[in-house]
Amino acid sequence: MTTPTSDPRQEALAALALGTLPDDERAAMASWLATDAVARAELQALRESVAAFGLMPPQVDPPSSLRARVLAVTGQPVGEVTPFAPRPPHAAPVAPSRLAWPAWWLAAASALLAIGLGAYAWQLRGRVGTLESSLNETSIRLANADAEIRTGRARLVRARAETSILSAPDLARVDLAGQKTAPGAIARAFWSRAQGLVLTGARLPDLPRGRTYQLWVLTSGAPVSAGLFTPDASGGVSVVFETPVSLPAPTGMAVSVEPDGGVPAPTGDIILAGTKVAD
Amino acid sequence: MWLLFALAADDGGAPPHQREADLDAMRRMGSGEAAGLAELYDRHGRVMFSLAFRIVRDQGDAEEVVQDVFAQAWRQASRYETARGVVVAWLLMMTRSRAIDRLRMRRGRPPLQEDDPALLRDLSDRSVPADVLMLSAEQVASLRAALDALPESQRLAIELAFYEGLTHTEVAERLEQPLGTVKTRIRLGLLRLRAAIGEAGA
Repeated sequence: MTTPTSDPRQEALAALALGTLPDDERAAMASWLATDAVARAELQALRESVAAFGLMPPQVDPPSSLRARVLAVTGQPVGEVTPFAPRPPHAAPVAPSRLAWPAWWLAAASALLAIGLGAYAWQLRGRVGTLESSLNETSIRLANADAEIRTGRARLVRARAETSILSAPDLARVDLAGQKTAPGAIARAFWSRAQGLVLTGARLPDLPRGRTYQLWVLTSGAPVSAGLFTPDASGGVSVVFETPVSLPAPTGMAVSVEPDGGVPAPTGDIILAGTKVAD
Repeated sequence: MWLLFALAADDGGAPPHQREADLDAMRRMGSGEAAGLAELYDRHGRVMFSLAFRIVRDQGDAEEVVQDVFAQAWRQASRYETARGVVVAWLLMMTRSRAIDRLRMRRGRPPLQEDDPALLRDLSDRSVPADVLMLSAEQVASLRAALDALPESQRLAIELAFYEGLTHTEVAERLEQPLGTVKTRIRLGLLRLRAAIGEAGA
Protein backbone atom coordinates (compact mmCIF):
# COMPACT_ATOMS: atom_id res chain seq x y z
CA MET A 1 0.00 0.00 0.00
CA THR A 2 2.79 2.40 0.81
CA THR A 3 3.84 4.23 -2.30
CA PRO A 4 7.25 5.71 -1.76
CA THR A 5 7.47 9.31 -2.88
CA SER A 6 10.69 11.11 -3.53
CA ASP A 7 9.83 14.14 -1.40
CA PRO A 8 8.20 13.80 2.04
CA ARG A 9 6.93 17.38 1.73
CA GLN A 10 4.54 16.15 -0.91
CA GLU A 11 2.77 14.00 1.68
CA ALA A 12 2.62 16.97 4.05
CA LEU A 13 0.67 19.00 1.45
CA ALA A 14 -2.49 17.09 2.35
CA ALA A 15 -2.04 17.96 6.04
CA LEU A 16 -1.55 21.59 5.09
CA ALA A 17 -4.78 21.54 3.07
CA LEU A 18 -6.63 19.86 5.95
CA GLY A 19 -5.29 22.43 8.42
CA THR A 20 -3.64 19.71 10.51
CA LEU A 21 0.03 20.26 9.68
CA PRO A 22 2.01 20.82 12.90
CA ASP A 23 3.28 24.37 13.25
CA ASP A 24 6.96 23.51 13.14
CA GLU A 25 6.58 22.02 9.66
CA ARG A 26 4.83 25.00 8.16
CA ALA A 27 7.80 27.28 7.56
CA ALA A 28 9.61 24.70 5.45
CA MET A 29 6.44 24.14 3.42
CA ALA A 30 5.95 27.87 2.82
CA SER A 31 9.41 28.35 1.39
CA TRP A 32 9.02 25.27 -0.81
CA LEU A 33 5.62 26.40 -2.08
CA ALA A 34 6.99 29.85 -2.88
CA THR A 35 9.34 28.35 -5.44
CA ASP A 36 7.53 25.27 -6.73
CA ALA A 37 4.54 25.84 -9.00
CA VAL A 38 3.72 22.12 -9.25
CA ALA A 39 3.46 21.90 -5.47
CA ARG A 40 1.22 24.98 -5.39
CA ALA A 41 -1.08 23.44 -7.98
CA GLU A 42 -1.35 20.23 -5.98
CA LEU A 43 -2.06 22.17 -2.78
CA GLN A 44 -4.83 24.04 -4.55
CA ALA A 45 -6.40 20.76 -5.75
CA LEU A 46 -6.16 19.30 -2.24
CA ARG A 47 -7.76 22.41 -0.72
CA GLU A 48 -10.64 22.23 -3.15
CA SER A 49 -11.16 18.62 -2.22
CA VAL A 50 -11.11 19.47 1.51
CA ALA A 51 -13.56 22.36 1.07
CA ALA A 52 -15.98 20.18 -0.88
CA PHE A 53 -15.76 17.55 1.86
CA GLY A 54 -17.87 19.88 4.01
CA LEU A 55 -20.84 18.95 1.82
CA MET A 56 -20.50 15.20 2.36
CA PRO A 57 -22.32 14.66 5.70
CA PRO A 58 -25.92 13.43 5.56
CA GLN A 59 -28.16 16.51 5.58
CA VAL A 60 -30.10 17.09 8.81
CA ASP A 61 -32.59 19.92 9.38
CA PRO A 62 -31.77 22.15 12.34
CA PRO A 63 -34.64 22.72 14.79
CA SER A 64 -36.81 25.61 13.70
CA SER A 65 -36.02 27.50 16.95
CA LEU A 66 -32.36 27.84 15.92
CA ARG A 67 -33.11 30.60 13.42
CA ALA A 68 -34.38 32.98 16.11
CA ARG A 69 -31.39 32.23 18.34
CA VAL A 70 -28.98 32.89 15.47
CA LEU A 71 -30.69 36.17 14.63
CA ALA A 72 -30.70 37.29 18.29
CA VAL A 73 -27.07 38.39 17.84
CA THR A 74 -28.28 41.29 15.72
CA GLY A 75 -30.19 42.73 18.67
CA GLN A 76 -33.08 43.42 16.32
CA PRO A 77 -36.50 41.87 16.85
CA VAL A 78 -36.77 38.72 14.78
CA GLY A 79 -40.19 39.72 13.60
CA GLU A 80 -38.71 42.57 11.61
CA VAL A 81 -36.46 40.30 9.66
CA THR A 82 -38.20 39.31 6.51
CA PRO A 83 -35.60 38.65 3.85
CA PHE A 84 -37.99 37.01 1.45
CA ALA A 85 -41.09 39.05 2.26
CA PRO A 86 -43.75 38.40 -0.31
CA ARG A 87 -44.66 41.40 -2.40
CA PRO A 88 -47.79 43.18 -1.12
CA PRO A 89 -50.69 42.03 -3.23
CA HIS A 90 -51.99 44.53 -5.72
CA ALA A 91 -55.43 45.35 -4.37
CA ALA A 92 -57.74 45.81 -7.28
CA PRO A 93 -59.89 48.88 -6.76
CA VAL A 94 -63.48 47.91 -6.45
CA ALA A 95 -66.19 50.23 -7.66
CA PRO A 96 -68.56 50.96 -4.75
CA SER A 97 -71.59 50.74 -7.03
CA ARG A 98 -70.86 47.04 -7.64
CA LEU A 99 -71.17 46.27 -3.90
CA ALA A 100 -74.80 45.42 -4.24
CA TRP A 101 -76.21 42.48 -2.34
CA PRO A 102 -75.01 39.65 -4.65
CA ALA A 103 -71.52 41.04 -4.19
CA TRP A 104 -72.04 41.17 -0.43
CA TRP A 105 -73.18 37.57 -0.48
CA LEU A 106 -70.15 36.64 -2.52
CA ALA A 107 -67.87 38.41 -0.01
CA ALA A 108 -69.43 36.54 2.91
CA ALA A 109 -69.10 33.22 1.11
CA SER A 110 -65.45 34.02 0.32
CA ALA A 111 -64.83 34.85 3.98
CA LEU A 112 -66.36 31.56 5.09
CA LEU A 113 -64.34 29.71 2.49
CA ALA A 114 -61.19 31.52 3.65
CA ILE A 115 -61.88 30.50 7.27
CA GLY A 116 -62.44 26.91 6.17
CA LEU A 117 -59.27 26.90 4.07
CA GLY A 118 -57.35 28.54 6.93
CA ALA A 119 -58.41 25.81 9.33
CA TYR A 120 -57.49 23.17 6.79
CA ALA A 121 -54.11 24.82 6.20
CA TRP A 122 -53.55 24.94 9.96
CA GLN A 123 -54.31 21.24 10.21
CA LEU A 124 -51.95 20.49 7.30
CA ARG A 125 -49.24 22.60 8.91
CA GLY A 126 -49.56 20.57 12.08
CA ARG A 127 -49.20 17.37 10.09
CA VAL A 128 -46.21 18.72 8.18
CA GLY A 129 -44.63 19.77 11.49
CA THR A 130 -45.08 16.26 12.90
CA LEU A 131 -43.66 14.73 9.73
CA GLU A 132 -40.72 17.12 9.78
CA SER A 133 -39.84 16.34 13.35
CA SER A 134 -40.05 12.59 12.78
CA LEU A 135 -37.93 13.01 9.64
CA ASN A 136 -35.37 14.90 11.69
CA GLU A 137 -35.27 12.20 14.34
CA THR A 138 -34.80 9.63 11.60
CA SER A 139 -31.98 11.68 10.05
CA ILE A 140 -30.24 11.91 13.40
CA ARG A 141 -30.65 8.18 13.96
CA LEU A 142 -29.27 7.54 10.47
CA ALA A 143 -26.29 9.79 11.09
CA ASN A 144 -25.55 7.95 14.34
CA ALA A 145 -25.95 4.59 12.64
CA ASP A 146 -23.60 5.81 9.94
CA ALA A 147 -20.97 6.59 12.58
CA GLU A 148 -21.40 3.16 14.17
CA ILE A 149 -21.04 1.47 10.80
CA ARG A 150 -17.81 3.33 10.14
CA THR A 151 -16.39 2.33 13.52
CA GLY A 152 -17.42 -1.26 12.79
CA ARG A 153 -15.77 -1.10 9.39
CA ALA A 154 -12.54 0.18 10.93
CA ARG A 155 -12.54 -2.82 13.25
CA LEU A 156 -13.29 -5.15 10.36
CA VAL A 157 -10.44 -3.76 8.27
CA ARG A 158 -8.08 -4.39 11.16
CA ALA A 159 -9.47 -7.86 11.89
CA ARG A 160 -9.05 -8.83 8.22
CA ALA A 161 -5.45 -7.63 8.25
CA GLU A 162 -4.75 -9.58 11.45
CA THR A 163 -6.30 -12.73 10.02
CA SER A 164 -4.31 -12.52 6.81
CA ILE A 165 -1.07 -12.14 8.79
CA LEU A 166 -1.82 -14.89 11.28
CA SER A 167 -2.72 -17.38 8.54
CA ALA A 168 0.30 -16.56 6.36
CA PRO A 169 2.51 -19.57 5.52
CA ASP A 170 5.71 -17.60 6.20
CA LEU A 171 4.68 -16.56 9.71
CA ALA A 172 7.46 -15.68 12.16
CA ARG A 173 6.88 -15.08 15.88
CA VAL A 174 8.72 -12.83 18.34
CA ASP A 175 7.95 -12.82 22.07
CA LEU A 176 8.85 -9.52 23.68
CA ALA A 177 9.55 -9.19 27.41
CA GLY A 178 9.39 -6.06 29.56
CA GLN A 179 12.78 -4.44 30.19
CA LYS A 180 13.94 -2.77 33.39
CA THR A 181 11.85 0.42 33.00
CA ALA A 182 8.67 -1.64 32.60
CA PRO A 183 9.30 -5.17 33.87
CA GLY A 184 5.58 -6.05 33.86
CA ALA A 185 5.05 -5.26 30.16
CA ILE A 186 4.66 -8.13 27.72
CA ALA A 187 3.98 -8.46 23.98
CA ARG A 188 4.01 -10.89 21.09
CA ALA A 189 4.51 -10.05 17.42
CA PHE A 190 3.78 -12.06 14.28
CA TRP A 191 5.33 -11.13 10.97
CA SER A 192 4.81 -12.28 7.43
CA ARG A 193 6.79 -10.83 4.54
CA ALA A 194 3.74 -10.79 2.32
CA GLN A 195 1.08 -9.76 4.84
CA GLY A 196 2.71 -7.45 7.40
CA LEU A 197 3.10 -7.40 11.15
CA VAL A 198 0.67 -7.73 14.04
CA LEU A 199 1.65 -6.80 17.59
CA THR A 200 -0.38 -7.51 20.71
CA GLY A 201 0.76 -6.40 24.13
CA ALA A 202 -0.35 -5.72 27.69
CA ARG A 203 0.65 -3.80 30.81
CA LEU A 204 2.41 -1.03 28.89
CA PRO A 205 2.97 2.06 31.07
CA ASP A 206 1.16 5.34 30.28
CA LEU A 207 3.27 7.80 28.35
CA PRO A 208 3.73 11.50 29.11
CA ARG A 209 2.34 14.00 26.59
CA GLY A 210 4.53 14.35 23.52
CA ARG A 211 5.83 10.75 23.67
CA THR A 212 4.86 7.69 21.69
CA TYR A 213 5.79 4.03 21.48
CA GLN A 214 7.75 2.97 18.40
CA LEU A 215 8.19 -0.63 17.29
CA TRP A 216 11.53 -1.63 15.78
CA VAL A 217 12.30 -4.66 13.66
CA LEU A 218 15.80 -5.87 14.47
CA THR A 219 17.62 -7.23 11.44
CA SER A 220 21.20 -8.14 10.63
CA GLY A 221 21.66 -4.42 9.83
CA ALA A 222 20.25 -1.33 11.53
CA PRO A 223 16.85 -1.52 13.31
CA VAL A 224 13.95 -0.67 10.99
CA SER A 225 10.92 1.25 12.29
CA ALA A 226 7.66 -0.68 11.87
CA GLY A 227 5.54 2.21 13.14
CA LEU A 228 4.11 4.06 16.13
CA PHE A 229 1.35 3.03 18.49
CA THR A 230 -0.48 4.15 21.60
CA PRO A 231 -1.83 1.61 24.11
CA ASP A 232 -5.40 1.87 25.38
CA ALA A 233 -6.25 3.11 28.88
CA SER A 234 -5.57 -0.33 30.38
CA GLY A 235 -2.09 -0.51 28.80
CA GLY A 236 -3.16 -3.03 26.16
CA VAL A 237 -2.41 -2.84 22.46
CA SER A 238 -3.32 -4.76 19.32
CA VAL A 239 -1.99 -3.16 16.19
CA VAL A 240 -1.33 -4.06 12.56
CA PHE A 241 1.60 -2.61 10.62
CA GLU A 242 2.14 -2.84 6.89
CA THR A 243 5.82 -3.64 6.49
CA PRO A 244 7.69 -3.32 3.19
CA VAL A 245 8.22 -6.57 1.30
CA SER A 246 11.91 -5.63 1.09
CA LEU A 247 12.25 -5.74 4.90
CA PRO A 248 15.10 -8.10 5.87
CA ALA A 249 13.95 -11.12 7.90
CA PRO A 250 13.66 -10.02 11.54
CA THR A 251 16.04 -11.46 14.10
CA GLY A 252 14.03 -9.80 16.85
CA MET A 253 11.93 -6.79 17.76
CA ALA A 254 11.99 -3.99 20.31
CA VAL A 255 9.71 -1.20 21.49
CA SER A 256 11.13 2.15 22.58
CA VAL A 257 9.67 5.42 23.89
CA GLU A 258 10.21 8.23 21.39
CA PRO A 259 9.05 11.81 20.72
CA ASP A 260 5.69 12.20 18.95
CA GLY A 261 5.97 11.49 15.26
CA GLY A 262 8.71 8.91 15.80
CA VAL A 263 12.41 8.93 14.98
CA PRO A 264 14.48 7.28 12.23
CA ALA A 265 16.61 5.29 14.72
CA PRO A 266 15.84 4.37 18.34
CA THR A 267 16.91 6.97 20.89
CA GLY A 268 14.71 6.45 23.97
CA ASP A 269 14.25 3.83 26.69
CA ILE A 270 13.69 0.29 25.44
CA ILE A 271 10.48 -0.96 27.05
CA LEU A 272 10.10 -4.35 25.36
CA ALA A 273 12.54 -6.57 23.51
CA GLY A 274 12.69 -10.13 22.23
CA THR A 275 14.24 -12.38 19.63
CA LYS A 276 12.58 -14.49 16.96
CA VAL A 277 11.18 -17.75 18.27
CA ALA A 278 12.76 -20.70 16.45
CA ASP A 279 10.38 -22.32 13.90
CA MET B 1 -24.09 23.17 -4.53
CA TRP B 2 -27.44 21.53 -4.80
CA LEU B 3 -29.06 23.29 -1.87
CA LEU B 4 -27.91 26.66 -2.96
CA PHE B 5 -29.16 26.26 -6.45
CA ALA B 6 -32.51 25.00 -5.26
CA LEU B 7 -32.99 27.98 -2.98
CA ALA B 8 -31.74 30.48 -5.49
CA ALA B 9 -34.24 29.14 -7.98
CA ASP B 10 -37.06 29.71 -5.47
CA ASP B 11 -36.16 33.32 -5.21
CA GLY B 12 -38.11 34.11 -8.32
CA GLY B 13 -37.04 35.24 -11.76
CA ALA B 14 -33.36 35.50 -12.74
CA PRO B 15 -31.79 35.34 -9.25
CA PRO B 16 -28.39 36.95 -8.91
CA HIS B 17 -25.56 34.46 -8.89
CA GLN B 18 -25.40 32.71 -5.53
CA ARG B 19 -21.97 34.03 -4.82
CA GLU B 20 -23.03 37.61 -5.47
CA ALA B 21 -26.14 37.19 -3.36
CA ASP B 22 -24.08 35.96 -0.42
CA LEU B 23 -21.60 38.80 -0.77
CA ASP B 24 -24.49 41.23 -0.91
CA ALA B 25 -25.93 39.70 2.28
CA MET B 26 -22.53 40.12 3.96
CA ARG B 27 -22.40 43.76 2.88
CA ARG B 28 -25.84 44.38 4.33
CA MET B 29 -24.84 42.63 7.56
CA GLY B 30 -21.81 44.91 7.65
CA SER B 31 -24.11 47.91 7.68
CA GLY B 32 -26.17 46.40 10.50
CA GLU B 33 -29.05 44.87 8.53
CA ALA B 34 -30.34 41.78 10.29
CA ALA B 35 -32.07 40.69 7.09
CA GLY B 36 -28.66 39.92 5.58
CA LEU B 37 -27.95 37.45 8.37
CA ALA B 38 -31.41 35.92 8.06
CA GLU B 39 -30.76 35.40 4.37
CA LEU B 40 -27.43 33.68 4.94
CA TYR B 41 -28.99 31.48 7.63
CA ASP B 42 -31.87 30.48 5.39
CA ARG B 43 -29.50 29.56 2.58
CA HIS B 44 -26.71 27.85 4.48
CA GLY B 45 -27.92 27.06 8.02
CA ARG B 46 -28.88 23.51 7.12
CA VAL B 47 -25.65 22.47 5.46
CA MET B 48 -23.68 24.07 8.33
CA PHE B 49 -25.81 22.34 10.95
CA SER B 50 -25.37 19.01 9.15
CA LEU B 51 -21.58 19.40 9.13
CA ALA B 52 -21.48 20.47 12.79
CA PHE B 53 -23.75 17.58 13.76
CA ARG B 54 -21.60 15.06 11.86
CA ILE B 55 -18.56 16.26 13.81
CA VAL B 56 -19.93 16.76 17.34
CA ARG B 57 -22.67 14.09 17.20
CA ASP B 58 -24.86 16.10 19.54
CA GLN B 59 -27.78 18.26 18.50
CA GLY B 60 -27.34 20.87 21.25
CA ASP B 61 -23.63 21.25 20.56
CA ALA B 62 -24.23 21.43 16.81
CA GLU B 63 -26.78 24.22 17.35
CA GLU B 64 -24.31 26.17 19.48
CA VAL B 65 -21.61 25.78 16.83
CA VAL B 66 -23.93 27.18 14.15
CA GLN B 67 -24.93 30.04 16.46
CA ASP B 68 -21.27 30.87 17.19
CA VAL B 69 -20.31 30.85 13.52
CA PHE B 70 -23.14 33.17 12.51
CA ALA B 71 -22.35 35.45 15.46
CA GLN B 72 -18.76 35.66 14.22
CA ALA B 73 -19.93 36.29 10.65
CA TRP B 74 -22.19 39.09 11.93
CA ARG B 75 -19.33 40.72 13.85
CA GLN B 76 -16.82 40.39 11.01
CA ALA B 77 -19.14 41.18 8.12
CA SER B 78 -17.96 44.77 7.72
CA ARG B 79 -14.36 43.58 7.45
CA TYR B 80 -15.06 40.66 5.12
CA GLU B 81 -12.89 40.87 2.04
CA THR B 82 -14.27 39.54 -1.18
CA ALA B 83 -10.81 38.12 -1.89
CA ARG B 84 -11.50 35.54 0.80
CA GLY B 85 -13.72 33.80 -1.68
CA VAL B 86 -17.08 32.17 -1.52
CA VAL B 87 -18.95 33.06 1.67
CA VAL B 88 -20.41 29.59 2.15
CA ALA B 89 -16.93 28.04 2.00
CA TRP B 90 -15.83 30.47 4.70
CA LEU B 91 -18.89 29.62 6.82
CA LEU B 92 -18.31 25.88 6.41
CA MET B 93 -14.63 26.11 7.31
CA MET B 94 -15.50 28.08 10.46
CA THR B 95 -18.18 25.51 11.26
CA ARG B 96 -15.66 22.70 10.90
CA SER B 97 -12.99 24.31 13.05
CA ARG B 98 -15.41 25.35 15.82
CA ALA B 99 -17.03 21.92 15.88
CA ILE B 100 -13.63 20.25 16.08
CA ASP B 101 -12.63 22.60 18.93
CA ARG B 102 -15.77 21.57 20.78
CA LEU B 103 -14.99 17.91 20.18
CA ARG B 104 -11.48 18.37 21.54
CA MET B 105 -12.73 20.30 24.56
CA ARG B 106 -15.15 17.48 25.34
CA ARG B 107 -12.25 15.04 25.26
CA GLY B 108 -10.22 17.21 27.60
CA ARG B 109 -7.85 18.34 24.87
CA PRO B 110 -6.99 21.96 24.18
CA PRO B 111 -8.63 23.57 21.17
CA LEU B 112 -6.63 23.44 17.97
CA GLN B 113 -5.96 27.15 17.83
CA GLU B 114 -4.23 27.07 21.20
CA ASP B 115 -2.02 24.17 20.19
CA ASP B 116 -1.25 25.64 16.82
CA PRO B 117 -2.46 29.20 16.45
CA ALA B 118 -2.04 29.16 12.72
CA LEU B 119 -3.88 25.94 11.93
CA LEU B 120 -7.57 25.69 11.25
CA ARG B 121 -8.48 29.28 12.01
CA ASP B 122 -5.85 30.49 9.63
CA LEU B 123 -7.09 28.08 7.03
CA SER B 124 -10.67 29.22 7.43
CA ASP B 125 -9.74 32.82 6.91
CA ARG B 126 -7.26 32.80 4.11
CA SER B 127 -7.13 29.55 2.27
CA VAL B 128 -10.63 28.85 1.10
CA PRO B 129 -10.49 28.21 -2.59
CA ALA B 130 -12.55 30.65 -4.52
CA ASP B 131 -14.93 28.58 -6.56
CA VAL B 132 -15.02 25.16 -5.06
CA LEU B 133 -18.42 25.33 -3.42
CA MET B 134 -20.15 26.40 -6.58
CA LEU B 135 -20.67 22.75 -7.36
CA SER B 136 -23.47 21.39 -9.46
CA ALA B 137 -25.68 18.57 -8.21
CA GLU B 138 -23.84 16.23 -10.60
CA GLN B 139 -20.50 17.19 -9.12
CA VAL B 140 -21.72 16.59 -5.57
CA ALA B 141 -23.18 13.22 -6.58
CA SER B 142 -19.95 12.31 -8.32
CA LEU B 143 -17.96 13.32 -5.24
CA ARG B 144 -20.12 11.14 -3.01
CA ALA B 145 -19.75 8.21 -5.40
CA ALA B 146 -15.98 8.71 -5.48
CA LEU B 147 -15.89 8.83 -1.69
CA ASP B 148 -17.89 5.60 -1.47
CA ALA B 149 -15.57 4.00 -4.01
CA LEU B 150 -12.43 4.70 -1.96
CA PRO B 151 -11.01 1.73 -0.05
CA GLU B 152 -12.32 1.70 3.54
CA SER B 153 -8.97 2.42 5.10
CA GLN B 154 -8.38 5.38 2.80
CA ARG B 155 -11.80 6.89 3.43
CA LEU B 156 -11.50 6.41 7.19
CA ALA B 157 -8.12 8.14 7.23
CA ILE B 158 -9.51 11.18 5.39
CA GLU B 159 -12.61 11.29 7.58
CA LEU B 160 -10.58 11.24 10.79
CA ALA B 161 -8.44 14.10 9.53
CA PHE B 162 -11.40 16.12 8.26
CA TYR B 163 -14.06 15.48 10.91
CA GLU B 164 -11.80 15.24 13.96
CA GLY B 165 -8.91 17.45 12.87
CA LEU B 166 -6.40 14.70 13.67
CA THR B 167 -2.83 15.09 12.44
CA HIS B 168 -1.40 12.39 10.17
CA THR B 169 0.39 10.92 13.20
CA GLU B 170 -2.81 10.81 15.23
CA VAL B 171 -4.71 9.21 12.34
CA ALA B 172 -1.98 6.57 12.06
CA GLU B 173 -2.23 5.83 15.76
CA ARG B 174 -6.03 5.69 15.71
CA LEU B 175 -6.13 3.34 12.72
CA GLU B 176 -3.08 1.49 13.98
CA GLN B 177 -1.43 1.84 10.60
CA PRO B 178 2.09 2.99 9.72
CA LEU B 179 2.44 6.75 9.38
CA GLY B 180 3.85 6.59 5.85
CA THR B 181 0.91 4.53 4.65
CA VAL B 182 -1.59 6.93 6.21
CA LYS B 183 0.08 9.98 4.66
CA THR B 184 0.01 8.43 1.22
CA ARG B 185 -3.59 7.27 1.58
CA ILE B 186 -4.85 10.69 2.63
CA ARG B 187 -3.05 12.50 -0.16
CA LEU B 188 -4.04 10.10 -2.90
CA GLY B 189 -7.61 9.87 -1.60
CA LEU B 190 -8.06 13.64 -1.62
CA LEU B 191 -6.59 13.90 -5.10
CA ARG B 192 -8.95 11.18 -6.31
CA LEU B 193 -11.92 13.10 -4.90
CA ARG B 194 -10.73 16.28 -6.58
CA ALA B 195 -10.50 14.41 -9.85
CA ALA B 196 -14.10 13.25 -9.39
CA ILE B 197 -15.32 16.86 -9.07
CA GLY B 198 -13.41 17.74 -12.23
CA GLU B 199 -14.78 14.81 -14.22
CA ALA B 200 -18.38 15.61 -13.34
CA GLY B 201 -17.89 19.28 -14.10
CA ALA B 202 -16.35 18.66 -17.49
